[in-house]
Amino acid sequence: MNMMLKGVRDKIFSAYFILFIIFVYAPLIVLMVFSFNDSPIMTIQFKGFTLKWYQEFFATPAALEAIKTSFLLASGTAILATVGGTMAAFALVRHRFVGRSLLQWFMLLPMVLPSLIIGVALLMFFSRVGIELSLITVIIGHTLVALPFSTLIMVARLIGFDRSLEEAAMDLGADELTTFRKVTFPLIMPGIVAAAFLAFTVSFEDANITFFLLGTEQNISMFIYGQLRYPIKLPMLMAMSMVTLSIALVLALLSWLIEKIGTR
Amino acid sequence: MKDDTTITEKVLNFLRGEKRSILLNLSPSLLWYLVFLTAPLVLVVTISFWRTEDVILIPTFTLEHYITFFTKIGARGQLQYIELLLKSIGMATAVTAGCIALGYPAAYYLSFKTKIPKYTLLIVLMGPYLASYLIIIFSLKFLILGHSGLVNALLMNLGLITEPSGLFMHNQYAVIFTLIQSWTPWLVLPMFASLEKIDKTLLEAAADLGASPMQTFRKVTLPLSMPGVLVAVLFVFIPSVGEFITTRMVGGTTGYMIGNTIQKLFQRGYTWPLAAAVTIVMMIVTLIVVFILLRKVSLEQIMESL
Repeated sequence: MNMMLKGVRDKIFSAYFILFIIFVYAPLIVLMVFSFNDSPIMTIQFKGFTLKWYQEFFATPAALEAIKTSFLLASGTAILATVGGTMAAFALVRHRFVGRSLLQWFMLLPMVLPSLIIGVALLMFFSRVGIELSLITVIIGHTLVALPFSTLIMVARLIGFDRSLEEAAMDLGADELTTFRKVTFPLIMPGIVAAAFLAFTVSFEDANITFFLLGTEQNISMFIYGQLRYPIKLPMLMAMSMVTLSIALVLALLSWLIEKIGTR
Repeated sequence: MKDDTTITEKVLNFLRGEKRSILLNLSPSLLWYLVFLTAPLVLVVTISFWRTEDVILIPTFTLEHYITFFTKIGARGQLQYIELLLKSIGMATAVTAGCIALGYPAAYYLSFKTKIPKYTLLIVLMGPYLASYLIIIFSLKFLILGHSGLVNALLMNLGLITEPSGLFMHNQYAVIFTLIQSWTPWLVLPMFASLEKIDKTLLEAAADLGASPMQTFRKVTLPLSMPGVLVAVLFVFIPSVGEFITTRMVGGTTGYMIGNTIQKLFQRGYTWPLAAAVTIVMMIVTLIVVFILLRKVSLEQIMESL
């Protein structure tokens, strides 16, 4: 009796999980299906298969430019946040110093403040200091938000790092730099890739901070946001969303592969 | 002269060895935080006490914007900003509760029930997070909740309604639903991480002592997974309070939140000080929530959730 009850319960759980996955993926699945819909309005009546929205997307320079801009922003953010985060993580994990735990909490701040506040504060700051808005100002904002993420990931990796490997290298006569290059760096590489990828996505997805800090250029979010007013552009935006998603997916797979190979 | 050398030596000694490497390693991010976070926040606080004449900011000290925030009466005779702040907190609470209610069973299934490799499933769950949330809102707005969207089509097919309903779009429930939809997968992670850490022998012990599965869950599993739930609250409540783009896209007039006010006040040059004051009040509210949560959550738990 009890076993039967357990079986039923497990089935309910499995069914729930399947529904959950459907719930989570629903917006993307319908977007994928109807990006091929031969209808000039966005509707879930499927009128026939077409690739014209994809053709229109590839023929829209501003849309392609937006994707390029998003890439620039995300790459810049990934580099800055990963370098800063990795360095900070070394200090936080390997040394004990006054104010260390306070500093750790302080470094969480950009993660626990609504990004609206960060956007507004930075915009006031740039405008008072007299810095014109550009891609750089957006990268500054994104890096600020991505830093806690990359720092935390690297802290987690460094805590699990076996320092006797470094000591062994030193004992064998390697200097600090060589030890770092030949021992430490290869070992923390997977962590660095994970941190860079997370920083990249933080920037790639952001709309709130970009909204305030972007100058005349447009990234993907702002391009879509701006085009929503024009009903005839909507089908093309579906194609653009799918292309963007595919790129993100390829990147995710790549970073996962590098991590996998690196950890082996 | 002699003093000089000792000072130089002191500085050099300080910069040598361990202290040097701490300073060197911390300085890039610390500099970033000081210049691009601390300084701007100090500026916002300062400007919240200033006045404007036309669009020019006049440095002075006035509390008028805070007084406006706490006392301004809106069109319906309500306290305009206070009511909006409370409504935003209420909506963010609803989003948080919804996310946890939907995400917890999924995390529980992943940790205890699945026979498929759980980390593979976890990665699958993270998939939608790769899409910019604007793309998700875009899809929800037109293809799912909208006039010719999936929900309306389903209900019409079922014969429950005869023509498309506008009830699913442009109101506060649409905002809450959209936020729940886009945040839930991300929140499974912290809850899963803390469920994974539960020593499974504890559950067996509870069962051996005669506890029913429900009792075991209530007395053992749930309390032990609380830290993960709190990290989830941290991850969703705070961005939800400050939401302004989702509300503009799917919120209509009833979905309007405090973030929209800040953004609007901010776009008009002459209301910067008031915008700054509203921002500061909102920041204090979120920091109180963060402070309460962080007393119960360790840094390790946040790290495991990334």
